[in-house]
Amino acid sequence: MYLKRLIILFTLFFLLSASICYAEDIVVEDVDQVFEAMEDADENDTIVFKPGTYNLNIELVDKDLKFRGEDTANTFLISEDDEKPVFSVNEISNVTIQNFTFNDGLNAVQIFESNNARNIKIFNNIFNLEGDSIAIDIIASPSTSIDIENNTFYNNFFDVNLGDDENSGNIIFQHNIVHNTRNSENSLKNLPLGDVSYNCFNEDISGVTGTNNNINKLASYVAAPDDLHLRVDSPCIDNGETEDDFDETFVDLGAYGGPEDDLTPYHVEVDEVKVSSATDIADSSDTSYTVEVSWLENLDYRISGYKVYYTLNGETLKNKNYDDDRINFHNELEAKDATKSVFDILVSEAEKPAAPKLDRLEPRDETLLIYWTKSENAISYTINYSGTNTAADSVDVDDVDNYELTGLSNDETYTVSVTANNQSEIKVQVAAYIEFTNEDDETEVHESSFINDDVNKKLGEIIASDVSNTLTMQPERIIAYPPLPNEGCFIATAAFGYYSAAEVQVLRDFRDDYLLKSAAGMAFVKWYYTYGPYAAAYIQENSILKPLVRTVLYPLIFSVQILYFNMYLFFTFLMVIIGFTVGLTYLIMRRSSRVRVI
Amino acid sequence: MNKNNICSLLFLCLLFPLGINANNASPKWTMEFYAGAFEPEDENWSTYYGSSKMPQVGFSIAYRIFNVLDIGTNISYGRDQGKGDLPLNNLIAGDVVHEMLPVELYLLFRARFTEGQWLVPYVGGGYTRFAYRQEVKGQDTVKGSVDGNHFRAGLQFLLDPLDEKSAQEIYRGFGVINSYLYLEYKQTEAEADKIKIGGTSYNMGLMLEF
Repeated sequence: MYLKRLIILFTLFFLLSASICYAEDIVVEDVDQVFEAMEDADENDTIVFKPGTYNLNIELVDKDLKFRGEDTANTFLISEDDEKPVFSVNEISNVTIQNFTFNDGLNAVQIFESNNARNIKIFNNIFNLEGDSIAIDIIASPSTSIDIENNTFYNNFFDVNLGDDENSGNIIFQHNIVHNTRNSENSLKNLPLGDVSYNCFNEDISGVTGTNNNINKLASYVAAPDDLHLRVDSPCIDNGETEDDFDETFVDLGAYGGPEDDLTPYHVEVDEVKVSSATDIADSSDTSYTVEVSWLENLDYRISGYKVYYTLNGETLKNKNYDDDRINFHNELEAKDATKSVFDILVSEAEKPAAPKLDRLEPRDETLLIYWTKSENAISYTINYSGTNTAADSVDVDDVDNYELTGLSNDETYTVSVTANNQSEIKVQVAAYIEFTNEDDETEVHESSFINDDVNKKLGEIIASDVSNTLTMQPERIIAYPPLPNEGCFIATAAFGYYSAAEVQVLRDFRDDYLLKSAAGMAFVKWYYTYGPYAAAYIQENSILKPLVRTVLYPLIFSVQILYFNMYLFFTFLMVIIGFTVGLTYLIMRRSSRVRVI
Repeated sequence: MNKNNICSLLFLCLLFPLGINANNASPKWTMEFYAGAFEPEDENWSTYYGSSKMPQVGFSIAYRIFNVLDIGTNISYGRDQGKGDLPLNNLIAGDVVHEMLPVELYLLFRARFTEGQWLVPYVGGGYTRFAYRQEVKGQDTVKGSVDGNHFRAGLQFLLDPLDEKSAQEIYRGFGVINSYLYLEYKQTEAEADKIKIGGTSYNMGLMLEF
């Protein structure tokens, strides 16, 4: 009998333990993973969101789940469908939503028909919503249990809206910061005021501030609205009801206080990385450099200091976590109020990269498109080119595999080659950290995320590869197929036979670059566009006129070409042409008058 | 009776009215919306644009002069994306967008002898002002328009007998007396600098009579 009871008790204990043990964290990085995790998760599992922006609408109807952001300030939840809330909680219990920033959308959290909505916790979130939105909307709640604790409500239209049912059950609104509700009457609509305590309001709300330890003071943020951590002078520090593990006083108010607080500091902006001149090390191929990294101070009152992480010729530091990835990289510690770190590094000469393979050139109008295969170890490339009438030149480009070389002449053939370059490089990130001793007397360290791109600095000489193979190509205008005539330059097109003739293009360029930039020029173009087509049609029908018109146009085209070369030379040439024409006319008239006399 | 006679007889049968008409009104105006494929006359088109056809959409409005003769105007738009010519380098490359916008004036003979005739063959044609535009990425846009002509023929199927109730509702709501689904063949001829830019269209559309 005893054995039977023992077996039953053991089985029950085993099942209970199993259910507790199996409540696990599922880490997600994008929206698809969120919904996959929700399907795969068991009851009471926690879905942990990596820092990032998630556009989604989550409907919780059949499973008790917890949702947590890894870095409150950098885990943004935005409603994908503007008509729906980000979280819709419907008739379920044991839901926790914590450590998120809600930035947009109709409502952030909506709790429906909450007869069965017990033990719903909304902790340590930031609600900063646009439009006529409601941060937390609770509809029909005769018997419910909702804890809204340690949130920061910043500049919302509605903060909490509790339908019209006064019989609200148990809704605790505690340790929150409510900042600048755009319609102050809607701050806590219909909320039973007895359950509103130990909050910080930046404006005086009748019946709320001054009672139940609700204060009316400005919170003093580090850099609102992006960074809503508290500065050292904030009245919201140590002003809660319960004890705080962090500094063994009382909990802070707002999203960065309370027992479920996310202790990740706000990310640090690296201002500059400077590298001093190199010093060669005797009997070594290494070179010593002094590196100076400066950053903007994080004014969060809990910051213990900063760590400078760097890697030489290595992988990117961005998005590396504190717990695992980061630990393998060098770091320099600095004090709480530091904004600069100076340290020495030893740098080996960069490896010589293999010569790249130049794959092909594609001609365009005064342009060549250059494609090559990248080389291992290369961090940049140099494109070397020379034309039949142009001296050799080069252009440096980043770590890419193609380049558009512009400003070339369509009348020249160019020879192109590519070299790969390598150079030592330091990549830098700075983390702010919070260090404290927890209730188990263990030291906890929390570092800020690496959200920004690494700050890179090149070091030492550029090591170039051998030159790639060479290719030659002449830039050329693309002619659309079929080569249809364009409106404009009608006479020239008719005389030279086709729209894309180089001579016609010269006149088009002259129209665009000179005529259309003055009122007189524009008037001429307008006149020409009205009457030009008639002349062009006449020339088209009488082919014998074409050589004659071409003869007249050639001096004009030549003049325009000179104009593009040198303006003074153009006017000189123009004067010569006019003089020659006047002189020739005079001679012809004189000769014809002589003939008549004879 | 040979095969041709049987076909002719069947065709004549199709022309007979079903005695169904949304109302007794006689339509005067027609409106068409259509889409289809335009196949340029140029044989090398697919070399530059990947396919010998391009999508085309259009709209027409016409007035019935006589019982079987409409006069109308039509506008359509076609667009194709492909590559251009680099003759010096003997290459086909770049990004070219070719667009066309023919505007037409036409006369249309519709073999519609009775109200409620459910199959209406038609044939027509007229003047075309064929506008075009060619955009080469990174270069100037070529544009222009030329005169031309067109011929069109097709078959219209009266839709009203399929759902008389809806036909009545559409008439009461929008004044549409008859609705037809039609299939059309169209041949357009136009030349720009001796380059043929016309082609053949195969369209399907909806015609509404008011």
